[in-house]
Amino acid sequence: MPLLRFGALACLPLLLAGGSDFDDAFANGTLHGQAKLFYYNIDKAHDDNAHAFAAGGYLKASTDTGKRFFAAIRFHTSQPVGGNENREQTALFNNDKGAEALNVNSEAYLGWNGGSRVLKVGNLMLNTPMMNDDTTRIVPWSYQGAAYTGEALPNTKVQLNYIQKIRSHTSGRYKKESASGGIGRGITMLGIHYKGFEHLALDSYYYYAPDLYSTFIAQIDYQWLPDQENLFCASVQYFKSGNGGRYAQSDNRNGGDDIDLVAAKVGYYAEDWMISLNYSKNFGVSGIVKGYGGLAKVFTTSMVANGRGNYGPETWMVKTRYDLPPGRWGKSEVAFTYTHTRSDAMQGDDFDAYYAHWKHDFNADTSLYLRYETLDHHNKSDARYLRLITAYRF
Amino acid sequence: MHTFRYINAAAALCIAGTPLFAAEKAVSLEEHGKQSVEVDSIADALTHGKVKGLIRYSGQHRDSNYHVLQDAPTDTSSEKVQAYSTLGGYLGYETAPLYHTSVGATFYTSNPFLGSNASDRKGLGGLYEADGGQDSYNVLGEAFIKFQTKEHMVKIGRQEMPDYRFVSLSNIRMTPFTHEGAVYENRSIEDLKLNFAYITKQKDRNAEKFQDMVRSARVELGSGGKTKVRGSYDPADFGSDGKYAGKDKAMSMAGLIYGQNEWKMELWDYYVTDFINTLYCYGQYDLHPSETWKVTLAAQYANQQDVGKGVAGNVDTWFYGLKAQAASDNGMLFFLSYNEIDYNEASYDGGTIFVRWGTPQMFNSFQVQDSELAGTKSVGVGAQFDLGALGIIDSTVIRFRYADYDMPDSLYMTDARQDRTEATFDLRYSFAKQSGFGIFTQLDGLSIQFRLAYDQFETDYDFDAYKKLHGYDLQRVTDHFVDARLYIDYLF
Repeated sequence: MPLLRFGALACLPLLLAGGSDFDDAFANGTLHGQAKLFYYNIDKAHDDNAHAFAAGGYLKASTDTGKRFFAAIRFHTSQPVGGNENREQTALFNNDKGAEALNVNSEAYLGWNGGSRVLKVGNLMLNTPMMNDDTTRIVPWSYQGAAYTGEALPNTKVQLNYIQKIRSHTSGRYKKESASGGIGRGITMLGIHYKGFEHLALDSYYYYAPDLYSTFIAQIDYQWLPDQENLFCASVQYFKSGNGGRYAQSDNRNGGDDIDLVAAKVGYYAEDWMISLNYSKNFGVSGIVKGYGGLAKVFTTSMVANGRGNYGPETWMVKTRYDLPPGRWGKSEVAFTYTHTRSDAMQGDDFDAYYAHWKHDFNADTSLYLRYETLDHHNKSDARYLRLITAYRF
Repeated sequence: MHTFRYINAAAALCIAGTPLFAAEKAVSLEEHGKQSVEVDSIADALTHGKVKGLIRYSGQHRDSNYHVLQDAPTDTSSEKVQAYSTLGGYLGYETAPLYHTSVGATFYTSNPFLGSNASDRKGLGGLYEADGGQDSYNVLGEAFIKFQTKEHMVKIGRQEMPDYRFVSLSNIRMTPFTHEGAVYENRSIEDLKLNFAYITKQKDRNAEKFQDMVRSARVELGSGGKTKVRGSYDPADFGSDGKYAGKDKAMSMAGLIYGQNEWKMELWDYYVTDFINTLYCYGQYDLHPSETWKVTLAAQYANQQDVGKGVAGNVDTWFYGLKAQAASDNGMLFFLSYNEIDYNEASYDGGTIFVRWGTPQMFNSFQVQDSELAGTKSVGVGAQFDLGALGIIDSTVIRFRYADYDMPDSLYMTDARQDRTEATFDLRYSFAKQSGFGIFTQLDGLSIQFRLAYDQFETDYDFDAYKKLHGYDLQRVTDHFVDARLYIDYLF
């Protein structure tokens, strides 16, 4: 809350100043939004099924971001429509209140623009490996705190975030609670990105959460373009957590103080298709499914299936995608992913998964997205997941 | 009720239009802020709509736990403080009309901001209080489809209903009341406006959910040992907390406004199934004693009766009011007003008028006191000065008011209350306009409003004797308190 108060204090002189600068900031501001219709069906062999329709989207307004000070606000909504069954399992609505309609303030921040340095304070949507927005539903995760991004050094980007509260994608409230437990004194993140080497990109993050657990992440990406139509890439990731605090739970599926995960990826991208082989092995007991919030960005991630679980899973994943030739009604892509996960531990979840999608973009703003995945579990009932998403941006 | 849920969802989705007519994104707020004109494609409808936005800081402080909305009859003699300090407002978008039809949606929000928003200071309704604290709230308060021509307007879904007297916004906290239903307005006949509505639900100012029109009226069986419901009623309609727990009830509304030159009359009827019917009449006549002064004489009368099943028992009450107002061309205004509310112990709460669907309409509804309580006889006086128009201080309007509320206060009375007075001071300052506005005029750009009320309660009663006679306390308030409110608004 002190950060929010600081932001408020920064805002008041701006408000009280009035005058043309303030009016110009609004006049040159922007408004955009998105409408979505989402259908989700979960079909399990022996457990309760779930399905729901949701309609919603977002509306965002921001003042002129070219000014020294700027501000933005965004609301997301997800409203149940039509028939449904066990809709809380779809994670589309407000699970704090019986899976009723979910209306949230996902962004409300004041920004300072210092050229190559930007500071935002307030409610934020983030895009980091262990704290991100997760846009796989209508309403994303969001975070309350401060985020600084500096790009003053050549080829280098530095991120420094402090998060004091987190709002889950199924809640309207910001709480001192992450996906994997209470955060007490908050989470501080330092991210450093370097692109100064030819073909290489280096990324490193450190999340300091003294009351939960801290995590170090390193990633190296290599890209080689022999010509305009072919791209080869290879990447490695490493996630290591420790320093468990009072809220840490080592075998937590979403994250704990014993993550020790290595992942690798090799891929080939042609003009209209791609294929990649992804691998991950978690040598620790803790999972890393959601991390602190959102969905942890590990290479072995499909729609539902992933290699981010707890009890040391080892996962192989083949992803391929093909872009169909553009036609009068837009362009389409189809994709297929196969996931193979095994664990040495008794408690581990062994499964094979098959994922396919068809996505059609009528134009840059309008899309229809059909996603299907089936998971064949070895030690629990199988499950099938279907999502149909129509989206329009304006 | 599902019908309106679908409309809410559809209103959001209709903004999406069809894939073949997609348009550019992120158009400037300035362009969106202009008045929409009829367009001829879905793409234009989507990209040339209207934005409405309000950034509001609001702080309110009352050095008493006297809560006029519920008229709490519990002992309030402690020095408890109610207060909130919040930042929020709303953001909405309505498409440009295509074939006279548009859709819109508005989000409303309020968030704790600076100051103390402790749970034990709740009660004023600036933040979400239903869970026992004072927390943020976000709500999709508007989601509608609208058809409008010069003569007809039909609007269906969640929406602001600002102009229907007993049904209105009452935007005096962070966010206004909004309602869910269908409205039809007709202006086919010159000087005549007809209004019809079927209202299923209402969102309270600081609520996240819409409730039916009986719950929204804040019906309760009783409180503090006093039974408010009189006559026959079905106990199954009330929960263990004494609040209404029966079936949802909707309101049908009809209104007629007719005016010509110097005079104007209004006739309204609000019928809530199995609850009450409210008839409201209003008339005013303008005199011009000189070239620079206008005198307005106004009268109002309302009658409220139970109907159908009568879920709140007997309701049989009325009120009337008289007002004289003088306004000068250069920005001075003076008024004198009188209200009387029926006192009827056979009616709900002794004849108190149900007014919680919008702004209370009594002439002497001031800052804290609404003059709706049973048996109230009130006299109010006031003066307002547009200091910009008077050439004293640009962009500033001030107002002073004073009212004396003479309550039924004999010991034998079932619904006795303390006599009270209220003095208020209001100030409005605009950063965008020099003069020609009032305390509540909607002003674009940045404006500040400061409101102060001083309430004095008569305490020379034998409270113990009253309790001994009736078995519950006569409402007891500290002999005086101050209610202060600050609003900093930026409207775009």
